[in-house]
Amino acid sequence: MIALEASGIAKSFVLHLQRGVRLGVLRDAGLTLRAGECVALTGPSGAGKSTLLRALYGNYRADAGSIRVRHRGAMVELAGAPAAHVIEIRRETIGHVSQFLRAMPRVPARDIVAAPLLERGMDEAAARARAEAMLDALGIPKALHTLPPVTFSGGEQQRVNLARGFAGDWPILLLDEPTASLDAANRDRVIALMRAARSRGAALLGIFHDPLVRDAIADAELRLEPLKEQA
Amino acid sequence: MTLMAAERVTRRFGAVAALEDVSLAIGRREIVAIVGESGSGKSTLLNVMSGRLAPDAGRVMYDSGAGLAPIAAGGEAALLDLQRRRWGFVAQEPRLALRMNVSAGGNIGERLMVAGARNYGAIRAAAARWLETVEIDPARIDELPRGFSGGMLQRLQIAATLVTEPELVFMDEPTGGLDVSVQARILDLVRGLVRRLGVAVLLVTHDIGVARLLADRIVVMRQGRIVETGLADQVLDDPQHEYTQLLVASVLPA
Repeated sequence: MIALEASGIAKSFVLHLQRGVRLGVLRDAGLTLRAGECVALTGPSGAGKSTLLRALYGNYRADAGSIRVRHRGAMVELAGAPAAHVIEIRRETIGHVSQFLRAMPRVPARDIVAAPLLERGMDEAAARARAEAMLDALGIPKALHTLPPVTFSGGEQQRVNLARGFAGDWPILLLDEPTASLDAANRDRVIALMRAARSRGAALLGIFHDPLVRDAIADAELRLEPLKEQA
Repeated sequence: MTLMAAERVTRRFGAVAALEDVSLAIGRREIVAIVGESGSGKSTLLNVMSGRLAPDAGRVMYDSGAGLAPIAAGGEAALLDLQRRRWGFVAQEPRLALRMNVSAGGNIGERLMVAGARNYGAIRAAAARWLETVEIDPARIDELPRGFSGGMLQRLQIAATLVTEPELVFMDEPTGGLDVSVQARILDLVRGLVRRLGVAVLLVTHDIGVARLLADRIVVMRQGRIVETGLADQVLDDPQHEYTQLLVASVLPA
């Protein structure tokens, strides 16, 4: 079953503050992602791996192309969709996991993890319990669950963000270097979470620089190359 | 589903066009932030959409349950009814919005009475509950707000606004005059309450950090026009317009 189908994706950035320089990053990029499958995005730095992930999430606005995702049982177009529709698709269907936590002042780790569940209408007690379980799975000590992560170490913040990213059981997961800078024990925890996501039928697309992680989780590869000329 | 819409609104002050052919729709439960520098027209747009300023051209539509209709169609009384029963306002300066010679509980209870509540015990209980919600000790219900800090006054204004459970709240720089640490507390409070009550918000701010934290969608204004609009993270992470790029690039990273 196809979970995500993208074709003809083009993305360039016009830097108005640098005399209007246009940086072409993606041209005619595309892929098909099936439920239960994990595809690794590979290619040298600057090939547009993160840009493609962000375009598929609707964070970057693609200049051209189609991004169709299976949402509420039907394939729907994400590229150019109205804001409310993109928000709904993100709430229910596509999760984006990066290594960087956007910590909010005064909001405890547990509530950061529970937030996407509450937005989906889960009741507060269930969302909190699920958040606690995810923080446990990522080895965040109980004593930290009720504290705002602003003061946590980089690695702890990263794991809070991963807990949030895996808490929602999204059918499609876009993963931008989820294990970067984690130690071996935590890396293995994340691999276990990704495997669990696959076995419940989630489709994964990720950037994994660590070959060990890539071999452990991905069964296909999509290689991107930097665009040659810039218009 | 559209709750409110400005349709091709223009407003001039003398020779200056504060708003030039601006259209903007807000959905139910949607949080929209208007960002831009001083003089961009963002507060004028807020005032026109909330019926406090009449546009020179164009119209403002609102859906009170029977489809979108012009807010000016029913005359002054109908507009006042919208403003009192369906909308709320949070101003930057709480001292101008609150009644400083009326107790904290009275400031909250008054809004309920305007909205039709008559049972004194119920009104007082609601006021106490709302003080607690905005993290003000309910034991201070009979105190005059004069002795409150700026952050407390702003939280009191928020309680007095949300107590009637409006469908739409207009906020003009709600954390504008406050210390950064106090700002965070209020933003967190507003975020939680707005989601729980399911109200739509039209927020004016010059602070794009506030916009990112609160808004679903961002509208960027410059010289009376909307130059860019999109999901909050799209506009801030992938700004298209030259002015938006300047706005995003001008912020010190936290």
